[in-house]
Amino acid sequence: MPGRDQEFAEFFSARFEGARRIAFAMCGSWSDAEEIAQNAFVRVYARWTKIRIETVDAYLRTVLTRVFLDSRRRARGREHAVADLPELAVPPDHSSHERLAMQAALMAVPPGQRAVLVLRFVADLSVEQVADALGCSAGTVKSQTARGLATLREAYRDDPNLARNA
Amino acid sequence: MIDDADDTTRAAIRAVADVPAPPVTTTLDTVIRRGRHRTLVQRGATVAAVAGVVAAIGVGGVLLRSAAEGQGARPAGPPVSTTAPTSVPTTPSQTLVPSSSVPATPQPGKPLPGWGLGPAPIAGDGYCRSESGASTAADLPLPNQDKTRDVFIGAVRTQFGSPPQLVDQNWDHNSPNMSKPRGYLEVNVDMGDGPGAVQLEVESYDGDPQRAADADVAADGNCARPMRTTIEGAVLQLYPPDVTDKRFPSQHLRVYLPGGRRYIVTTAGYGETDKTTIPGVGYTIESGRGRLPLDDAGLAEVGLALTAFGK
Repeated sequence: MPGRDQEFAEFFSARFEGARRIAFAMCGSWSDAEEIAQNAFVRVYARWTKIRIETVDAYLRTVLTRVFLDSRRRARGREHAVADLPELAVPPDHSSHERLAMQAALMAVPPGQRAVLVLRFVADLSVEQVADALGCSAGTVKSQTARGLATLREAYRDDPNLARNA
Repeated sequence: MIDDADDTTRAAIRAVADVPAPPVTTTLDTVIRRGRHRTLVQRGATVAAVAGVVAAIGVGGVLLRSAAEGQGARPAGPPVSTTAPTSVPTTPSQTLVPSSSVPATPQPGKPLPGWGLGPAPIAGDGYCRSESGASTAADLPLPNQDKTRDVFIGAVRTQFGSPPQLVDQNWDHNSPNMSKPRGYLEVNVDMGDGPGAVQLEVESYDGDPQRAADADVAADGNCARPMRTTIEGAVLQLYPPDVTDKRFPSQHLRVYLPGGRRYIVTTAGYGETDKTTIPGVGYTIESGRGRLPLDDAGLAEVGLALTAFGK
C-alpha cells in the first residue's frame, strides 16, 4: 500500500461529500448525515490497510448503511420526529414543495426499506450491488424495494403538500 | 408520480438528495484521529480477551491440580506430553515496537550503512505529518509491465533464495481510485510458518525527488524519522515498521526517481491464505506471522534493484 494516510486522504476528499448526501437521503437530517458519514469513514480508516483498494467504495457503502441502520435502531423513538418536516439547508421555495413532500414520504418508509430505496435510486446501484452492501440476497432487495415503493406511494399520496400542488 | 421503479420515480427519489447542502464540518484530521483511536481500542480489547482466556485456563489448571492432589489420585487417562512451541523463521525478522509504546518524541531507527535520516515528521494529534503535506501524484505513463515484474520478482528472489509466488498484478493506466496511472504487483514468500507478502506499486509524482520525499516523510502517519539515501539523483526513503496491528505488520520503502517515477515497496507479515473473502466487498485479513518477511537491508536491496531498473 502507498502511504496509508495519503491514500486515505485522497479517498476521503473524493468520497465524503457523496457519502454524506446518501446518508442525508437515508436520514433526512444534515447533522445526522454528517455524523453517519463521519462514523463510516472512521470505520473505513480503522480497516484501511486490510481493504482491497479496488473495492473500497463497496466497503464504504456497506459501512455507511450499517451505521445508518444502527443509528435508527438506537433512536427508534425519534424516527417519527423527522418524518414530518426534514431539516433544511436552505429555506424552501415554491418549486421545492414537491421535493419536500417526497422527502417526508421517504422518511415514512421503514429504515431498512428506505436504505434499499436510497442505494437503488440515489446511489444508483444495481440490485446485486445493494444485496452485497446489505449482506442479503437479490430477492430480498427486490421485495424490500417493492414494499418500500408501496409505502412511499401511500405516504406521498397522503401528504397535504402534494394535495395542494396536484 | 410514483410507479414501480420507473424513471420518474427514480428521479423523484434522487431529487431528495439533490439539494444545496450545508458546509462539511468533518475534517480529515478528525477522521484519522478517531480512526487511530478506534484501532487502539480494538487492539486493547483483543489483548484483554486473550489475557482473560489465558487467566481462565491458568486458574482452571490450578483448580484441577488442587482437586487431584486433594483426592490423592492421578487424573484418569494417559499421560500427556507437552512440547514447547517452536518458531523457526526462515528469513530475518524485524524487532517491532508497538505503536502504543512509541514515545512522544519520535526516535529515529538505526540507519543502514550509507543511509542517513530524513526530516523529522511534525507531531500531530494521534499521528504525524510532514512540513509541506504529501506529494501529489502525476500522470507519467507506466513502464513496461513484463520487465517491471521480472525485475521485481528477481530482486525478491535474491533475498529469499527461492522463487516467490506472483499472486496479484494490475496495470491500471487510469486507476479508478486515483484517476492516475498505477501499477501493482504482489508476491507471496514462504516465511516458514506461513506466507508473507512483498508488494510493489508503480506511480508517479510531481516535482523533484528530494522535495517529494520530504513531503512524504510521514506518509504513513509515522512519527519516527525514515531512513534515506540518495543514489545518482534518486531518493530512497525507508519507513519504520507499521505495527498498528501486531499480527500483520508492514513496512514501506519509497523510491523517487529523477524523472518522476515513484515505486512503493511494501513488505507485510501476511499472505493470500490469511485473507477472508467478503462477497462484493473484497477481503479482510484475519491472521498473520507477527513479523516481517524482509529486514531493513533486504527491503533496501529490492529498492536498489528497482532504482537501477528505472534509470
